[in-house]
Amino acid sequence: MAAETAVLAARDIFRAELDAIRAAGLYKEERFIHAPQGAEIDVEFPSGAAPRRVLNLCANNYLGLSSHPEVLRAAHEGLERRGYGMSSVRFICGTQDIHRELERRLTEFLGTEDTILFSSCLDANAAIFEAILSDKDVMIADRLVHASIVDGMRLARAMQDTYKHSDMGHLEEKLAEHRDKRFRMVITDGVFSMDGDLAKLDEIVALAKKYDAMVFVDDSHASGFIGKTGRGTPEHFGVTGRVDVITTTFGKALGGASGGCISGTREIVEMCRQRARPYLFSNTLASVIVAGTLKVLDLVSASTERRDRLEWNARTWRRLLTEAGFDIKAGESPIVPVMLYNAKLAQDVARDLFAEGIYVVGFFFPVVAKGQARIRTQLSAAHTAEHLERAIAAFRRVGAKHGILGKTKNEIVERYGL
Amino acid sequence: MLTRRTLEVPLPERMELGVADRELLVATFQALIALRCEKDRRWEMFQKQLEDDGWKVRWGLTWRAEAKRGDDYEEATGATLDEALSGVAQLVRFDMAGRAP
Repeated sequence: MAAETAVLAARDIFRAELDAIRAAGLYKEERFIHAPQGAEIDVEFPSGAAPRRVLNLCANNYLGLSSHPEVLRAAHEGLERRGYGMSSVRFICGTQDIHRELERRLTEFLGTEDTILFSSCLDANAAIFEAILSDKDVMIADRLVHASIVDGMRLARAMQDTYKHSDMGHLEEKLAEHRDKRFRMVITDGVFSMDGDLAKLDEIVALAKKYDAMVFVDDSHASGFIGKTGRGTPEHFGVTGRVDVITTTFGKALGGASGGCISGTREIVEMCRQRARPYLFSNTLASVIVAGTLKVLDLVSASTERRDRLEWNARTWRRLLTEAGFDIKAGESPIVPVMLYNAKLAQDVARDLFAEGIYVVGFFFPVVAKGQARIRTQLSAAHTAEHLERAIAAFRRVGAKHGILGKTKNEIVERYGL
Repeated sequence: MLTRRTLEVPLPERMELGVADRELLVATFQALIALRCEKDRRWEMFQKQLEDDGWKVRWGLTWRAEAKRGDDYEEATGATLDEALSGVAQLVRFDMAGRAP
């Protein structure tokens, strides 16, 4: 039968494509963790090997709250009091009092007018542009925004345009070019996940005001710890209340489970409640996560101790790597990329560090641009000074083995190629 | 058997006809013929159906640009060639940048 032949042919084609991904060294393998998320975890790798305890330097667990006892207790209580699932979207019978409470608390925390919850920040980013913009409008995005923003922009009817990464002159040219559009929306990450650098949000907000544009910020890698009280990049740059839309996740610093939100001006949030397809056609955020996230907001609002500790850890780790002779991306966030440029070198260094008890992942094209292979290290407030000392000792040994300590980009590229 | 019928159009003297000019002329004539003759003007029936259902229908010719490299493919449309190609350029640019989770 033709249909059966086509189905069999499809399986052959998919197998060949998967083989090609493996041959290119791009196959993503999962490593099984036999422990709660934390600074130290038990990892089974390769598959079938006995789990071994390693120091985790690749989680988004910035504040170390993923397995915090008070968050676990709150989640347990949420489960007991509000149940496991709602079996509904929000607008039919899926909104509990705690959903409304979390939206109110996030609004207060982020300094906006209103908030709407989503099952993930990816959903929030996929939803927003289509919900509020039309073909009379233009979206002007930094060229390094997160993949979910690119997907969201592709779903919208508004014209797409981009500006060179953090290039304010180029952004201004684009804003001037699109003066004829009904709405202009400048779109950026707050902290860029590849390089760990911060968007120049104060300058972006000023340009947006000059050209009568809206500002959108995905603050997933900032909420909870960037800014003096962890309110994110708007607080860091002194523009709280002047950003029209903030999206963020609960899957990183804010407990690390899942879920996200759009927070911003009242009308934009209201439009999303009426039109955002991932909100209208997907189940409500699980009550257990809502309860856990409410406790996370209690903790981060009560004290800055964890974000202060994270800031110290990030500064110390940057200093230790620099002193050891590694080439790192400058910045101030807890995302610290160690630049290796060559994809195989990044994989080899990650493998050797794992053998030394340090869990990091090598990133290379297409996750990062070609010739920009690296190891992305991420700090957590759960890391202690002893952890950092242990990690840098391992990095020094592995760096020496590969002859990259004290080497410039050109020297590394000359030896290993791009 | 269909007979291929062609129309010859004399060009002004000294006119240099580039590839893009040729594409433009071919596309223009094909569009005119399509509007006049395509499938017994079934498009009129679709338009009427939509209007009967309360839609206000507008239509027009548009530029379409494609870019293909290996398995990667992007396409965009626009009212002008500039618009269509800049649309493709934007889409391609999004894919050239790395994207860390």
